[in-house]
Amino acid sequence: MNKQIMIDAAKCTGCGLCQVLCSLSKSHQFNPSLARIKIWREETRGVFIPLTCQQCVNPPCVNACLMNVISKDPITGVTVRKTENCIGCRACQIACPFEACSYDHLLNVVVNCDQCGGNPACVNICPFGALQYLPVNEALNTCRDAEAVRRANL
Amino acid sequence: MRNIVIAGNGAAGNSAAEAIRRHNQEVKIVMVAKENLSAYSACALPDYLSGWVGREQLFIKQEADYARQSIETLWGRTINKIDTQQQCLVTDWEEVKYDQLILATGSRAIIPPVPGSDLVGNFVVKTLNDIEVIIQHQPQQVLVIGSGNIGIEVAEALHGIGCQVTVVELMDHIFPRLFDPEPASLIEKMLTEHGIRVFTGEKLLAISGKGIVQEAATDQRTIRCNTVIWAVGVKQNIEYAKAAGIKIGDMGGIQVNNRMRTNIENIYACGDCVESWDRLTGSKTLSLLWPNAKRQGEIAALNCLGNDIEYDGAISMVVEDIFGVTAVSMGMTSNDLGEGDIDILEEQGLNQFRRVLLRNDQIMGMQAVGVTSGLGAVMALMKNRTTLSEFRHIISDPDLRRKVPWYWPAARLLDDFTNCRQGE
Repeated sequence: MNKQIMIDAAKCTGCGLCQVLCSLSKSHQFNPSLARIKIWREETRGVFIPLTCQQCVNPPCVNACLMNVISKDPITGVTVRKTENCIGCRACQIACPFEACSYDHLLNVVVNCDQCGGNPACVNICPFGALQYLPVNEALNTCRDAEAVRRANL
Repeated sequence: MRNIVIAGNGAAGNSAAEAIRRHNQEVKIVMVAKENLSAYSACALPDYLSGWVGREQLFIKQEADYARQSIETLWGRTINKIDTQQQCLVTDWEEVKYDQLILATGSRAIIPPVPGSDLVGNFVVKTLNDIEVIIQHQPQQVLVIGSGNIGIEVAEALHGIGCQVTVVELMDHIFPRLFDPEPASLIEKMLTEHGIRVFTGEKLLAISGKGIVQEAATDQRTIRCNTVIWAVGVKQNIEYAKAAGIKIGDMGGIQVNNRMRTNIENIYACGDCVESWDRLTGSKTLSLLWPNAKRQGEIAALNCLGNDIEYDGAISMVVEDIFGVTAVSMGMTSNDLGEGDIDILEEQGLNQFRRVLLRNDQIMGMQAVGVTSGLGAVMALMKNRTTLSEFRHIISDPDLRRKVPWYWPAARLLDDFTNCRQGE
């Protein structure tokens, strides 16, 4: 079963370690702006939502791309890019509902989460368990259980 | 063995070929196209003109890629006829037998019959060759006729390489099909500030010159120029299809059903040459946009292979870069929506503008200048036809809204409007 990054926003404290580690492993810099995971911060409400590529089945970014850079890997199901063809037009960034495409200003290309080839740095560092790397069925079960508990406690 | 022939090597044709190969390695694919080039990105042509993108970078596929996907390529062929009885595509070189035919022949740019439009120095922007002849011509003073996305992108590109550029638009504001008058005038202001002259509501009457373009006369002035670029629209390449008895719609595109099938068995069509329908209103439309062509190609291919996949209609999304400021138009404009009750959410800054058009509580269109965050999420709401009250219900419930992370960017964008009013 393929694995996916499961985000539990309720556990996120907005510490930003995932962003720092992501930029380190991908661009060799401590620079959250280069990270492929973002945290949507609503500080006044105390809400932090980590947003990263959701590996959509029929992604809007694939259709938006003018250079056919983006495709779905047929085996892993990860949305992958041939960044050498990217012209940096950023159409994919606008098309993505999750704001999950990051502009890499060092290479002038747009990139997205590739799950670090199966060992995501963000998940490894997350101190609060807001990010987990789970097989898809297990992730769905976890979501379902959490929702059941929530409704039972209503 | 089954033989699928794809006519056309553009966005739709290639998307179809790739979709077939993703699902089926055995079936034989033959691609027939007019241009003797492997697939390139037509949307990036203005960027090639400006020098931002090199010629090599334009190509999406190399010849070797076709061979690797075992696609037989017949480039440089003109389609003369489709023999629907014998299931055979007749080109000027050979006859290609097909079991299924996918028509993705696209469109061509038109030059209206204005006096002088046959002089040297009249160009269109549609193919790579068009760009190359413009560069060879060495444009200095350029007149761009039409201010759709092609017109403005080309004007900006030529301005960037040092040309004096004038844009003439017949309608009363630029981007008449993409933006409402207010955002259009903001974009016009930005173009003018950078030195592009823009004249709206003017009609070109004649072009004059001795063999080569020297002057153009509109109904209000004469403009000196050595190059005229026509960006006034396109015509569907459907003549051979019409001759074969394929039904043509009222708007001039090939009529297809929601499986991208034409009225003739085993013939599918997709891309610029078809008449599709708008996802939001259901009305007939000629969508000439890259993402729609790609999706249509995929749908045609999958149905061709025997799947049953429905196309849910075209939706427009155009992103323009106006001297570093992003201008985005999604869905319909208030002109498309016409009379009737539309609500407008609007926010205007000095160099920023955003407007959401609503009808019956549903988002029908969005235009934004200088704002990019949250637009993809609003687009998703529009595609899913989520009403604004449903959206607000979810966002007001703390538990529900955590489940839909992409609602947050949309919420920040949609809640921030100060000016809400009923459309006139």
